[in-house]
Amino acid sequence: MKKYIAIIVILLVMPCLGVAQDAWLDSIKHALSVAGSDTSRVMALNGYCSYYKFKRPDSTMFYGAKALTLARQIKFPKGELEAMAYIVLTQSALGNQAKALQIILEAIKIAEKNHLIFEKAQLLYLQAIIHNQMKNYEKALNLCMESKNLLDSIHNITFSALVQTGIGDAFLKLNQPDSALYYCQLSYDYQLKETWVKYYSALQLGKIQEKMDHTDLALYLFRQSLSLSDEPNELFNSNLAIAQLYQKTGNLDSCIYYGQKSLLIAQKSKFIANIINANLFLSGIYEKTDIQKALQYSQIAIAYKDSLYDLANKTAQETFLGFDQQERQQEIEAANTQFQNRLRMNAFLGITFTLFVIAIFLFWNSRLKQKAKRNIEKAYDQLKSTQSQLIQSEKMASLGELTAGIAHEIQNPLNFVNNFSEVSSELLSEMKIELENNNKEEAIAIAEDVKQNLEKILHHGKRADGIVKGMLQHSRSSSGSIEPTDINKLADEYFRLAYHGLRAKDKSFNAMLKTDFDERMGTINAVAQDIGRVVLNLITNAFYAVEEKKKLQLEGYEPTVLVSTKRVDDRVLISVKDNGNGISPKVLDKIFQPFFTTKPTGQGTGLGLSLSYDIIKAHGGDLKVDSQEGEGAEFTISLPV
Amino acid sequence: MKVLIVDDEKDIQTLFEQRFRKEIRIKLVELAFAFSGEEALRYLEQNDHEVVIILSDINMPVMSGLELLGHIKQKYSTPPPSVMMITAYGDAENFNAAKRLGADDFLTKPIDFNLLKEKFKL
Repeated sequence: MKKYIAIIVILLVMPCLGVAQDAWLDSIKHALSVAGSDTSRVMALNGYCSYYKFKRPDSTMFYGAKALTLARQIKFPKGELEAMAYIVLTQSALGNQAKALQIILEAIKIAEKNHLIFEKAQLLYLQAIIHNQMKNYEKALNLCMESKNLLDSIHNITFSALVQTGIGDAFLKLNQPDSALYYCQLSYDYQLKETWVKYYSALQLGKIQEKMDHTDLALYLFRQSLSLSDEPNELFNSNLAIAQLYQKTGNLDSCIYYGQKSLLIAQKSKFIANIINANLFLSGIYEKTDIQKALQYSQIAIAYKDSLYDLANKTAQETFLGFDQQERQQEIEAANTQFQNRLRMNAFLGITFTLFVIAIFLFWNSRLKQKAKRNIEKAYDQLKSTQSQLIQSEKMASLGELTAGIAHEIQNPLNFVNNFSEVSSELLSEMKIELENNNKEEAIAIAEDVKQNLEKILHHGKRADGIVKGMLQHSRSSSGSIEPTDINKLADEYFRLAYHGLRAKDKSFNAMLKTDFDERMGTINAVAQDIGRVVLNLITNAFYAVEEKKKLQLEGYEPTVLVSTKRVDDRVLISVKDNGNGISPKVLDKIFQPFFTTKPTGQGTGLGLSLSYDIIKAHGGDLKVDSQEGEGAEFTISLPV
Repeated sequence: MKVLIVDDEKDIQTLFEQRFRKEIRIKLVELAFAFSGEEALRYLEQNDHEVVIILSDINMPVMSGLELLGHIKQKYSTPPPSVMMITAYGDAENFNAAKRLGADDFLTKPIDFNLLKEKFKL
């Protein structure tokens, strides 16, 4: 780093180089030969640039381009910037300021991209020097200020001091010697180890004092700068400044002495620009006193100038072309990279957009699904409520079928209650008479009858009560609880209810009622009202079937319905068998479907068997049908015990 | 006078026996009971021409009172017993059917025994 800074500094500050050059060149050659890494190769190549920079612009351009290419390949921005700085300096020295500015602006961008603050500050200062050369002092001043701010931000006092001297230079050129003095004095007052900075501030301070006509102070400062000079270029500048000062004061001998001294230094260091400057200066000195000598110096200067520009126009130009081509190549590569980046970016955006679209689609889809789910749930709820309403209406419908039967069943016991009450009352009156007549035996016989009658009244009262309770249970909408149920009793009860119900509706209806109950049935755990509903439904269907067949008025047909129960192992079977028309195979597999009915419209809900099937399934049982068309049908409920 | 009462309700026997206890005691009336249509026909076969009046319920399982009525009126033409129909459903349909089949009288439940005694001319 230190070496790198030193190289840059030398490069920036010194317009020319002088003594001990060969030793330096040897060390660079050695460095290049032993350079292991590409980084050190770049640094060695830059060393060549530094060595050749003003002596051989073609060599500088050649090595600069090489260093630049390598540095870009290995992505070594510091080396890249250094090479660019040499190229810039060479270009400006060759009078190609526009190209120099173009390159430096590019270099500044690279420095910014890589966050190289110190390098950026140096490049800004280099740009300021070029603007200074182009006599654009205000721009130079602004650039120096910017550079100084950057350097202050990283606390680089040495370079800040150097740049402040540059600021002073710009102010001096802008004819503001006070401001110039302020900045150069600041720089001069820093206690720095680096004598080359001090030399520069002393030189600039001298020029300011010279401008302000403080000749003695200026001479003092120039001598100071001379004493601080240890490089050929510094020695040249200091000597030339003294020579120029003596020219101004009219001390021609001293002027010529220092002028020739500076020419000697320039010639020794082979720094062409300095040689030209020294010759031009001496030519100017001799212009009025010795025209011959003046012409001679002038011709030498012109010859050097020509050689310089020949060099520039010939070999350097070729290097330029190569460099330009390289630049173009790099631009194409950069454009390619940019294109690929853009492609990648577009692909990324495309993928992101696609994912976004997919996400939106999925979100939308899930919302639709949720909505559909809600609708389905709603529909399901409606269906459930409709179903429970249907079940209820089926219950009420079957209750309607029962009503007449129930009325008959209640009417009979009620008649007995009334009749036995009435007759008992009469018997008691008779008993009273018998007792009055002391006919004790007869009175006791009557009392026996009354007692018997009261028992009968109680029996028939309970009978009516049971029927009403059963009716209420049948119509109850809430699902009943599981309880021990006497299947035989239940089947008998509903058989009677169904029969009387049908008889009540159709007076001419009659059928042979047969029962065959297994005495071993006992009780099973079931919802009695549900099982009762199934049994009632099957019996009602059986009656309907036999009634339909009876209408055919077949000879010797006796409508018969048999209700039987049977216990087989761990199951109970309840069977309802009729000798009606039977069920045709066409409809046999449909009879358990909801709303399927063979009855004329309005006579059946088509839910009876469907609900029966569901009820039996809910009890873990089976409802099966066995039918021969024209012979009758047998429905069998099978329930687990 | 022998009266046959046909009803599937067995308690009807007790009721009639108590209601007609005085008449039975003085042998003014003799009561016989059958608990189905078939039983009634069997009784009539066995006790031919003894029964003067038949009282039958209409609403009975297997053979209804109306069927029984039809059988009796066909079978026993000379001298036909007087048949009185009793039903819980005092409706025109049953009444007309009974009349058509040759029922001599028509009673509705609950039986008014005073009215019945009048009809028996007791």
